[in-house]
Amino acid sequence: MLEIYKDLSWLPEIPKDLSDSFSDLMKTADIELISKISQYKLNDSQAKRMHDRFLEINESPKSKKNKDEIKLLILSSNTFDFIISKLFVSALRNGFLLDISLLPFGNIVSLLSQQIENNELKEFDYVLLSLDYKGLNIVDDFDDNGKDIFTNAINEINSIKNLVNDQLNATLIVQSIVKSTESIFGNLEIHLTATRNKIIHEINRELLQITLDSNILFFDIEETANKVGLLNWLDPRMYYWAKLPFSSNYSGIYSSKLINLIISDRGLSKKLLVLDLDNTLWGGVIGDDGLDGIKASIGDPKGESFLNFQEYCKRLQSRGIILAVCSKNSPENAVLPFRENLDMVLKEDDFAVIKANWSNKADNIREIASELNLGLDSIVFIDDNPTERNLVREFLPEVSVPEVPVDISYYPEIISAAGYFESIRFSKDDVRRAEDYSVNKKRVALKTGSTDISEYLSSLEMQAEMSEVSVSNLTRPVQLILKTNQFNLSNKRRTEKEIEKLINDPRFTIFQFRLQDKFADNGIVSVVIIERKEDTIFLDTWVMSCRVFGRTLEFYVFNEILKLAKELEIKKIFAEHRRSDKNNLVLDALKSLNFKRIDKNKDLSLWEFNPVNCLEVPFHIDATSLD
Amino acid sequence: MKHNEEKLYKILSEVFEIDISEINHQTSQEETNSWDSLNTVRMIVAIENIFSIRLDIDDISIINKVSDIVELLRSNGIEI
Repeated sequence: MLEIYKDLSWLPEIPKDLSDSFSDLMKTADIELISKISQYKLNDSQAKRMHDRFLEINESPKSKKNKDEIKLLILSSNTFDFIISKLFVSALRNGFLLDISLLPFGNIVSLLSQQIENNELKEFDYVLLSLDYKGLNIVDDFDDNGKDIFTNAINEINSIKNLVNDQLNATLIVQSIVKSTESIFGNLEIHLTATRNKIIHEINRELLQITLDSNILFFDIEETANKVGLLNWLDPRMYYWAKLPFSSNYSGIYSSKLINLIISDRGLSKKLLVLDLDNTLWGGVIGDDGLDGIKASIGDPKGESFLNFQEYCKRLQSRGIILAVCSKNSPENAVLPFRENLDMVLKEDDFAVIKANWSNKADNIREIASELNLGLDSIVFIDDNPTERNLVREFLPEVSVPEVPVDISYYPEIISAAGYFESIRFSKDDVRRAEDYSVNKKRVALKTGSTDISEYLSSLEMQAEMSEVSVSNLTRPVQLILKTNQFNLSNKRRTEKEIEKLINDPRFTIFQFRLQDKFADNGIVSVVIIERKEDTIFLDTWVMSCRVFGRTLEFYVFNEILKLAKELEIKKIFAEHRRSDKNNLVLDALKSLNFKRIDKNKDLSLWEFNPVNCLEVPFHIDATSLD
Repeated sequence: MKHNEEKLYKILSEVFEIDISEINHQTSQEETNSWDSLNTVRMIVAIENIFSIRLDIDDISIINKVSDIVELLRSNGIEI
């Protein structure tokens, strides 16, 4: 249990043959092979060798890189050399190449401004500010009640923040400060007066506030250090010996947490949790043991540990993670405990899809993904059976399949430690999303009852509302732009910071669309960014949530744009489609809307629409002001 | 005992990226290019984890060749 953070126990062990031939394998120039090996648990030396190998390959001019690259600058007053290879491996595990730069030792503010002045720094996507109480000089202060120390620390962090924001144009990640284990009072240490730990506590609260009010990311390493236990986390020997900021046993979890945060900022966190049933949600096999034989009841220790895992899944669902079942069972047996056992925390309605049959789980998961219009790379699959886990890993490498311990009690810990569902923002729409997937089952039922599609669409009684995105309501639109893979016209992934810039740029206007029907309010499900260039409109971005595919919303949205274009006496509307392996259906929409293609490029095609034309496709949505 | 020596050599070979056959008790920091201060820390961490021991800051400073490590392991009750 306590080793979860030290070993990253959710990663599969490296197979013996790969481990034995590791040195030989690291002679390859094949980044895909290196990337495949990065999925396993690796020790420090292996991680270092992998990173070194990549740096060698990278120098070769012929190197082929078909992976996204993220450039990270680390600002720290400690030794980071032990952490960078783990950071690289963590990023690679998530499909990114991480290019890491370190600032040399010294005063961060003066070094940074000096390097900026001399143009020595390249462009970065992220800048990590990793400080500790020693670097910030946080000491006890009984005379002044810690005011000066607090102000100095916050000022220093603010100066760095301003440099990064104004000069580097990168997203800043600020790490919380880890407390010290050395106490001089004991019980009253963080309550009584301005002790070191009390001042650290205040600074962390202020840091959180600063980050929430801006587009800075808050990296709460203190939380992780506390979970591990400060006595384990800190290693004073290694600090004095080599200026290691924390025990190198934890460089893996540090890296994993940091990469999760970056992944989340890019909208690539997981969305769907697929669960096995027998021995995963309850103890025993429902088909063999029957309702009375399975363990999922209060009063039974094992049963309660399964119920605890159910409660954890339910909590995830309540914050917007979609749940589904994939089990080898007859459909009747699979739902029996949900219906008959009143102690069960999870109910049938909590799942967007229940697949219970005897075909292989890889096929079932593929079907679940397609029914929910979600990508395989947004799925986490939990199964107690190692054979099933390996099968899914083998056939669906995009799906995340954590190793789980034999004891179910630790399942929630494994999922939270792995950080699949990391999220940098949270809005009411997130909650609505998970509910909506469950309601979708009712829509499907209605659809099966209607013979005519337009009759069905009309019976949904859909209403939509268009509004302009402003700085105060950009969380959901940004999230949608980052997360949408299928209905995504230009595949421009814009961060919150970039969207803010566009809002303040008079050439750009950003619209969001909210859709409601008789079953539920779907919330904001489409975003369009238009750029005005003289008497033309350029569709810079157009995304639509996969939850509302097939409801004619795209036609409604375009009709609103068209109305605007007519008002502004626009001569041409342009759309540029950047092909990915997932966004072909935007092309279908453009064709249905009667856009004409005006170039012949394969991956980047330009389309135009003349606003004197009318919309020829019908939609079944009324415009209403919903609020 | 042989087993523990193998474990130690495997660590050294991984950390210093040298072939196991090149390692013996006389292998020293001076003659091994990759044996720098960063790799010393990596080696210490690996030894502590593999042998489940904890070395003192004084112990770390006296390590100069493989025989020093063997002595340290013995004084920590490891048969090698």
